[in-house]
Amino acid sequence: MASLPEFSFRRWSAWAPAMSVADNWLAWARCETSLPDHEETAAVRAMPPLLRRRSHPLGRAALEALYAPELAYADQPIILCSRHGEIDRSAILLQALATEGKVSPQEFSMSVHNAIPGLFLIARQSRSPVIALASENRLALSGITEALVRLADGVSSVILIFCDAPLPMLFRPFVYNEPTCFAFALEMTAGRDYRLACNDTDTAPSQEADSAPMSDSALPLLRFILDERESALPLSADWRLSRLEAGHA
Amino acid sequence: MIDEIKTLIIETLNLEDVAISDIDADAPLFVEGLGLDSIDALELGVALNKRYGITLSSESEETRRHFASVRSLADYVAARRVR
Repeated sequence: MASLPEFSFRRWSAWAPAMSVADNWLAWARCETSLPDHEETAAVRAMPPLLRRRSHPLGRAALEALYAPELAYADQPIILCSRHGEIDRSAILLQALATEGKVSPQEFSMSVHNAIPGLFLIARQSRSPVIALASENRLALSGITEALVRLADGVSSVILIFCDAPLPMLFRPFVYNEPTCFAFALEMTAGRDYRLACNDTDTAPSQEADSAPMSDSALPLLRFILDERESALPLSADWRLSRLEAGHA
Repeated sequence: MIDEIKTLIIETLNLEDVAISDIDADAPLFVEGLGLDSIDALELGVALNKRYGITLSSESEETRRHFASVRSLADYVAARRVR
């Protein structure tokens, strides 16, 4: 099997309630703190109010990460990865349909998975391509794979954004529920820091990949990137994200 | 009625940071003036139906006239409301 291209994560940004600065996230990544149980909606002051009003709390978290100065967004393609997106809109629409028979055109117009980056690009008047992915527990693998495809296509930099939020009560009995609303953005470029490794083709799966259970959340990806102690992160039963040693051959 | 329509617009369209006094009753509601768009027009149509029982045709030239400003909308609602 031909080896997969190596890559780097050049910049990152993240937002969650009471987690607005990089130091909050670095402390969280080192497991010194956990995500606070706190209700807060991102202000997204960088976005014109007439567009901002269309976003719900999850969208605002994602927009705050996209607008973050640390990310220095420069019209790269955006890959949005979210297990459920702004699913609260679907709950509102379904309940309105069941009880009143009339649904909100505004909620309906925003109830597609790519609406959040769409809003961001409208505000920037940018025509950058957007892909929106949903996946049960392979979100990080799906996103990184999609970004590798984009890089192989000749793009030099891609923005990956991961976001999810607690589910409406309606859906909670059925699936994993994120305890906190969060969003993080990663700028992925060609580089020599990471690669995707397949357990079948690598002779010795790493200890970390064996011991750490796969997560239903995308957050372990951010923790793995920020806290450099682990050498690999399992992304599926077969695939893991491997950190390459500095100066490897 | 003017203030009632302004409140309806602000609440229905999530116009945060906009107060009743910020809206000029005679200014255009769409594109210029308040800067609303076609989705807002549909949303207002649904809200007017729920609140006042008014049904507007989305295609008619008449509807455009009623949606021109807060004042024209207030006049129309006052004349046609069924609740």
